[in-house]
Amino acid sequence: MLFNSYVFAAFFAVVFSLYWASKSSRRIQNAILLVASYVFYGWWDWRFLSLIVLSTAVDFAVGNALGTSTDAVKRKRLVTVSLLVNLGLLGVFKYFNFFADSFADMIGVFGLTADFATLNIVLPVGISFYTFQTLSYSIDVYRRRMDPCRDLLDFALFVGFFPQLVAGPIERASRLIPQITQPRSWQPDEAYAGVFLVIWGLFKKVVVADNLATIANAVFSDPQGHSGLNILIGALAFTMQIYGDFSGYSDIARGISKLFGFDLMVNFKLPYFARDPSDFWRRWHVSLSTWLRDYLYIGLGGNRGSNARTYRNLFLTMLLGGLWHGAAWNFVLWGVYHGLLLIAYRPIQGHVDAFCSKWYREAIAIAVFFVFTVFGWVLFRADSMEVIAGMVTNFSFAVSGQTLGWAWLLLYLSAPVVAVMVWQQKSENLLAPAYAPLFVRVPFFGYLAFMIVVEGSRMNSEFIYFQF
Amino acid sequence: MIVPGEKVQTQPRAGIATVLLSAIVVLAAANFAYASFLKSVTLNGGYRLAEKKWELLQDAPDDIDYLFVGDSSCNQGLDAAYFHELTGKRALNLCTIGNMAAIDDALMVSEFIGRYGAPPHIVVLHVDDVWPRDDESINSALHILPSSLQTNVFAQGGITPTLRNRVHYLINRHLPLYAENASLQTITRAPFSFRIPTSAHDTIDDFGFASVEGADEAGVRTDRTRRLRGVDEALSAPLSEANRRSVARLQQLSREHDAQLHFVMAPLEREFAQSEQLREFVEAVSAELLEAAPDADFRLFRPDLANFDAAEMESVDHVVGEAAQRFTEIVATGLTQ
Repeated sequence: MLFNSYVFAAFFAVVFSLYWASKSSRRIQNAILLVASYVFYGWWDWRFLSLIVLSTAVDFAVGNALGTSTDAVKRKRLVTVSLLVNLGLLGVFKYFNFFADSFADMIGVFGLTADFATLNIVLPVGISFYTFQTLSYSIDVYRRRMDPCRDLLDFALFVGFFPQLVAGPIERASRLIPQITQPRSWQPDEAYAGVFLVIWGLFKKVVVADNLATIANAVFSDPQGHSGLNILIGALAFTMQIYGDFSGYSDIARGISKLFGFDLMVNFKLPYFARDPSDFWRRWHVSLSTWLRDYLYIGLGGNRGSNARTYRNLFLTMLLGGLWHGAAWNFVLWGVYHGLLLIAYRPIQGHVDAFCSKWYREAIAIAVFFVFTVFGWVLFRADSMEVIAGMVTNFSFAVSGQTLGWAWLLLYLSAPVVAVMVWQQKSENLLAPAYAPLFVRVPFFGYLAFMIVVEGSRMNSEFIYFQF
Repeated sequence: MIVPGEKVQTQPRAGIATVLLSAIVVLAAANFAYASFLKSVTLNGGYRLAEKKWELLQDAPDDIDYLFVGDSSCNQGLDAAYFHELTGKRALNLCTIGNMAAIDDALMVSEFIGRYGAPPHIVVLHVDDVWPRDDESINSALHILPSSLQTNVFAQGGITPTLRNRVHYLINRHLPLYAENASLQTITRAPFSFRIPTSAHDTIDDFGFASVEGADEAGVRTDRTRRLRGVDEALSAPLSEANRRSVARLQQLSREHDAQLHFVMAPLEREFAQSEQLREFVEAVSAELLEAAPDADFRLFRPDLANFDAAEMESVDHVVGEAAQRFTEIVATGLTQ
């Protein structure tokens, strides 16, 4: 079930009504949300609900056992069980074929043949998101950063909460579980912010991302058939597409959650205004980057050792961060690229900070890093080295009718988003447009509604991050 | 630059209501304005043609001998004035577009009879791939019928609509801003080069014929491959329920008013006409049409009736230039013999 579908609109209307009609009982509300979450997920493929149930059962049991055990060895074993089950699910369903194929390719170089068959495994939607979410719970309980959740219904809702189940934000147990276990009341101001997030997210998804996808798909599927200028437009189109798609999803998820009385973490903080890679990862997919920081980078030693060790930790964290996105070499390459960017910027970070003391210099630093970001998206989106080579070596600047048409479309769809981003950055509040004076807000909301109706894609296309 | 966060602020309830209601008002106003715009400037050529044909019907001569109804292959294939010249019989071409299928034929014939009395001959001409079209595809064009027919369009068209049909129809009829006809997007996507489209296909003469020039041999070849695939797929259900009901209605009208109903095959590209798949399909659809309209004349419903070179066509069943006159001669001879 997609947020950008009529089915979801009807589903939401029913769940929302039942939920607030039951506001006298938190448990009934949670039960309604849990059933709704399983229906929402089962809409894709009900068989994969078993994976969520398995992950829920294992981590609930592990968490409770950790809560009663003081034996260090036993505790370590328990958290290992959680790691094995969750990473095992990911390994089998997401990475098995990738590693099997890659191994076969590798030994094929030496003239050997791998005599095993890969499995016809379908990737369950959102598996990387909910396994990381439950893992954070087990690890936090193991590290005694939080008490285990003693109520299976509450815990199951933490794992399966439908707005963020399939594409995040990857919530921390310490943030979400207390909200689940506390009574919720209708908060008009939060609900209004939620409505704004839903409308703004929908705009970014169906107007910006889905329409720019036509340009990006055309260029990335046949870079040789396009001029260098078209390729540049295609790369920029994908840059805006992936931002619109993923941040749009996060906004809708967070907006819907607010309408149910929940506050999920902010996942995007204007990433294209980042002036360096560290800044970028404080702004892009924040729930994943902080997860990787807290559970992987710091686990590896963080920046506590020598420079070489810090670089290694940065590199490994980003490599695995890239691989988290999908079982394909382009994601690995993208992770490596960002790891190298972090390593390259680290010695000059002080200089970058000093350089950015004036606003126009900071604008230059942002522009420079934006170029790096766009190149990163080329690595991310391209499905082969040939495509990457074809894109970066094409320097023909022929202008065709298609070039002008695409340039206009890119401008027409992206300029409003960039303008709002500037507005949000200047006011340092991502909700700024929702609180503008009425004479600004009324045309702004009218514009969003108009564009969603007129320009919104009717294709009900999936969100890019569902595949991760 | 500070990484921004989210700061929820307290808002007066009246302000929230104003904003949300205003967005709805803006949408409603834009929809109304766009609907008015579309009334004067229809950007979809097919719809524009159908509207013109319905206007022609309302202002038609009342002494018509042959009334042509059907789709665009007939619109640009049957020259009614030339037909008159050849046979001395007055003809009127009210053929529109394939997406309105036989529903439009039945509605037009019914309307014509109501206004002027029945013509002695009713000629129905559709390309093969119109006959299997179901309610779903036909439905998208029903909103362009004249307002007088809109009060109960499904019943008048003989359609049993699904909920989806009804929703689509209502959107097309009343919410042009959201309708599938994305003509507003044709403006926003190319605002500097946009011109109100004109097309020979909807430039009709006083008797409803559109003279189209410009053959497209390569297009015909591509179309042939596509259409042969379509013929194969349609073989199991060559006549949709919606078309069957409309054909039965045509049969009823012609019987009640003592008019002769004729079914005529569209002009076909030679190679396409000779294909075994098409012949099989025509046999299958003929049998079904005959069942729905047992009194009709099917002498001219044959793939070998009028075949043309690709150089005389713009698709496998749309003739251009002088080929339209030759097709008219063949039909005139066949009908009046």
